[in-house]
Amino acid sequence: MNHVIDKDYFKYKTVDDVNYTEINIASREIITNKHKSTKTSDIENRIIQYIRENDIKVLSFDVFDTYLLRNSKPEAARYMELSNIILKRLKDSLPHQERLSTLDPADICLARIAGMQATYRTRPRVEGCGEGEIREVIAMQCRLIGLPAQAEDILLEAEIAYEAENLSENTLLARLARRFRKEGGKVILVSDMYLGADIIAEIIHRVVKRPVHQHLFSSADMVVSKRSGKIFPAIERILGHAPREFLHIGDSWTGDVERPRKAGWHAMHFPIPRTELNKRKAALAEFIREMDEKGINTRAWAKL
Amino acid sequence: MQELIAKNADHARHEFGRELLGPVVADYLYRLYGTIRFFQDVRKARVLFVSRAGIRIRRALDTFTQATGLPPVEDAPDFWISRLMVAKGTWRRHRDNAIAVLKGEFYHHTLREMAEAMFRHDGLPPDFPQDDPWLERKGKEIEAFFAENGPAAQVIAAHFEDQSRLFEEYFTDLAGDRDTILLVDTGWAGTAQRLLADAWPEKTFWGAYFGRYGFETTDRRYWPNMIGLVFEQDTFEYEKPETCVVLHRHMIEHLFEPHGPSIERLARSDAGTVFAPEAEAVRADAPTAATDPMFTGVMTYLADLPDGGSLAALHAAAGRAWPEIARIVTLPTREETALFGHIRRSADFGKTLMVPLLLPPEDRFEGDSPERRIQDSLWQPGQAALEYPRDLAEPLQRRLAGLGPFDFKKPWTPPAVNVHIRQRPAVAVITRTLDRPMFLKRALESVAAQTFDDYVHVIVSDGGDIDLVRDTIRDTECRHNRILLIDNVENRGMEAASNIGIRAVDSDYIVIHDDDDSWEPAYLEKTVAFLDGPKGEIYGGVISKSMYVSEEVTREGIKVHARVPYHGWVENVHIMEMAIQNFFPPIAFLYKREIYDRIGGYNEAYPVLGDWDFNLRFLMEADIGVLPEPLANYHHRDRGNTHLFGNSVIAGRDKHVEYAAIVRNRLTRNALQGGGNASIAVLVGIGLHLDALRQETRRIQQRTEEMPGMINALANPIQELARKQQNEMERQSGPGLFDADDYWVAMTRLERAVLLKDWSVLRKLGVKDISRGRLLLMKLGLSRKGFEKPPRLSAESIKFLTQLRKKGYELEPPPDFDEEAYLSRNPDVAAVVAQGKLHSGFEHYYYYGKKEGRKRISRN
Ligand SMILES: [Mg+2]
Repeated sequence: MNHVIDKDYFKYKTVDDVNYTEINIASREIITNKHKSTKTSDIENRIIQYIRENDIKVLSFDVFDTYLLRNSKPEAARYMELSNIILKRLKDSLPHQERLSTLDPADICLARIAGMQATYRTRPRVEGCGEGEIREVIAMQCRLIGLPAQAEDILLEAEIAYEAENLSENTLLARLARRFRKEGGKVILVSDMYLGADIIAEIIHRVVKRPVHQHLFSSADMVVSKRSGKIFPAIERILGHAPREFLHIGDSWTGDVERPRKAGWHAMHFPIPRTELNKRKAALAEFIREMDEKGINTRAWAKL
Repeated sequence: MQELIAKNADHARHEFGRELLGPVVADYLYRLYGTIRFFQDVRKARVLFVSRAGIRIRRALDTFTQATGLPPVEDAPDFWISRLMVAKGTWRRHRDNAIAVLKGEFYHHTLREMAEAMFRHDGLPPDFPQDDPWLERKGKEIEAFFAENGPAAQVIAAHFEDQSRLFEEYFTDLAGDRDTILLVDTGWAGTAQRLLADAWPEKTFWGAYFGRYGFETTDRRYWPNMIGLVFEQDTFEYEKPETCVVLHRHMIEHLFEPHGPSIERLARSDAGTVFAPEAEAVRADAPTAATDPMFTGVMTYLADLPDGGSLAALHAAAGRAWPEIARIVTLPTREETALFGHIRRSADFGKTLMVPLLLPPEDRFEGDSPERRIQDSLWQPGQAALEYPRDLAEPLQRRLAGLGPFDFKKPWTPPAVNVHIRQRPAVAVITRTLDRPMFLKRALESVAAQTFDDYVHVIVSDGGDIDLVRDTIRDTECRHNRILLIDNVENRGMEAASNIGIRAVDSDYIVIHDDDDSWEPAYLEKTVAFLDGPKGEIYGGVISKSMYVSEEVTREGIKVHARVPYHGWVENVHIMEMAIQNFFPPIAFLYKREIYDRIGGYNEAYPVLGDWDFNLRFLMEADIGVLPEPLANYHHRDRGNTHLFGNSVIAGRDKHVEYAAIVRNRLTRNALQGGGNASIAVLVGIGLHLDALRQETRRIQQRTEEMPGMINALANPIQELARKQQNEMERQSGPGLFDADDYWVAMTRLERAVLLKDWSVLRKLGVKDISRGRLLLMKLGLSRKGFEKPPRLSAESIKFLTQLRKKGYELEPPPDFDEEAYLSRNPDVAAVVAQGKLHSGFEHYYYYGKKEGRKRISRN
């Protein structure tokens, strides 16, 4: 924006290059277009330059909404969509289960919410941190709707398949990672998520032919997390690198930028663009209203 | 429901249970069922149903699982305890807790009464030392009682020791090898869970309760492990109707309360196992439509599940029932209170004394009053319905429940969807800076620490060293991609800098964050939510309250000396007040860009007071709301070298006086020449006079108050007292908190309290003896000269006094209130006064009439 904004003030100028420590990767649309436009290669080059200047040894990506890009659905709507799929799969695989005939996708969705609340709240804490875990969610879900134990595998497989179908690889970061690995760097993925590393790995394998990472860490396994800041020293210990040798990129300001920087890592923000957020917001409002129609008040848990 | 109650109360209770409590209990049981199974299968926990409520909860749960076809809950034994039993049972493991529970329960009772209660079932042992003098002392001395270990203490301690051993054996047996225990009970603050967790720190205790809430003094150390399945909050909220239970917990508690004795002891059976002798009688609880119509109503619903048995169907049914239940709980009619009229609650530990949930609306003792009975009632809105006719009871019930005037007048609907879609950033934060990197860094951090992040932060460097600014931004931890830096190249002045910054970006809202000020992290979140919400339709801007921060620049950095409320009296933003002076800082003020555009931005001609001029013109277009929390910090270098780092307010004081005249004159001139708003000219003129008048009044008052013996000469000393209090309050904290009537009522009350020697009131005011009470009255009335700290009642005291309503405190009208005219204009009030329900028309006006919009009629 190096131009004069108001003719009355011809003498002032805006200064747009204050983002020294942070590359503002604003336009996700360009990336998802999959054209190697000059703009994305610019960004790529700037990050590479930053990596060289700061002698980065480990390149770390957040997974969801960073290395793997989601579509425009808010979390609440995704749960509902997944619940529909689960019900269909259950009916296919367990044709003799009478309960299924009376079941509504909303039942499965509410049971999932109950499961999320149970696992996040009651899972034993580590270093003061709490984290949920998908198998616990599913265990609660199946008990609440009265499904047999073999249903748990069906739900987990549906979860993985649904995630894989709705995610795509961030080609910019993928190119960047390959370039970095060619130069001898390590690439890792770090996720704050209720899905364990094994499940995330399975999802990635279904989305990406050649995944870029050598290590994958999830708070679901470690319980300590990015948002608590306590996962970073743990990763340093495992990989044997000093904090200043890491560069982390992710979409959450707190978990992916503020906290890693506090831990001594380099970090860049990869925010979700406004247009994308607005799509999710509109869908969320729609979801809340639809559920209101069914008499179910979702405000306490329906999120973006 | 009303008709049903009139016809047959028991049938109505049954229907209330079936139609309304049924769905909410079913929804609760679903959550409970999931929680129990989750804890059993995933957490490998031992689940225990805590007596006595656990007995009926299990019965309801079994009926529910059967109706839904869910596998029944198994392997979850009863846990036969009570608070007293747990206190006894943890005697060996955590004596302090055990003693604290007993002390709380027997504080005002003799230790003899306590001893008798402890041995209620077995009777005192034959060799009990009846003549131990300790037994005549009160429970509040219980620590000393046990510490001294006299003959009675020894017997009781031995009993506790014995019970404790039995309890440990009993609990260890129940818990088995499990490290995690889940207790199932109704609620609310989880005392038993806390006592057990303290006594068995090696185990993890969880509680699954209907709801969870507490009071200010509640011990919340284990709060995260206490799951309120239906609600977890301390106060009722209209938008969450299920929270009405905090206003009427007995509705749920009584529902699950089985018949039979309380569990207070353990014993060893002939076979050598530990058991609770009273358990059998409780287990025999057999509720019928005749004995427990509400419970059987609920059970009927659970057995039939007419709304369907699925999670979503029951969730929706509960969602429909809660608003209706909440309406009855918060705004019951007199007839509807009969739904719960049968409930009796034990008033003591041993459950020998039973008190009704609602008190008969008649005096229990000399000096009793409706107000007092409502205070004492276990269901206050219900008691209010019994005490007052409907039109008087309803406003009171609304106040007790914290309801708005229109809540429940229309069918309840869920709150509006709180999602805001924007095409541009919500807020433009404008920071003007000039060669003060130390301050700029703090301002950057203040903005970066905001919990709300949809903003763009425009830094306008007003002609200073741009490299210094750039380096400061680079080296500060903040959200760099939200920052736009503008170099003004040469100094253009504060208001021009604001305009440049504001026009360089687009946003819904605007706020000026000066480089030396700061915010609390929630400032943007709260102010944006205010303007985004329904209030945004009324207001064009909002201020939070602010703190005045007194600081100094030292070699070590910025040193803060003091933080005090800045114009703490501001409750509303009135144009008239603004016409006198600007009374809030820019840092507190978030406003809509459309108003900025409409009034043409800041006037660049003013070196100071540009914000005052802006606020005045702003108020000609739109109103400004006020958030009560102090979220903005207005920093001042009012110590040390004020010139170098000074604010314009401190360092440029003379300029302020000069430019106050210039702002007024320009606004007026502009208006006269037809280029501006004529009313604003009138306004600033009046403002000037008002300011002068206010200062003159203060001088006169001061002189008047210095005259000795003044008070006796006045026709009505109480009114004089009231007036003085008002002056004193306003002198110290500004106008607006109370009006003359409030002071009149407070002073009348105080006078009565002294006359009646009403200690319950005087003690609350910190008066320890009557002569001091008289002295307080006198001092309040005397000149403030001669007292180093002029006495005044605190705002809390005044509030307390005005809300005081009891026998002996009949409210006389103040001399300037035309009682006759008020009564003749309001015949309905006259009727109530004639019946003796209210003492005066003024009493009606003050407590009800004013809120109902009736006119105060003053004597000329
Ligand atoms: Mg992410």
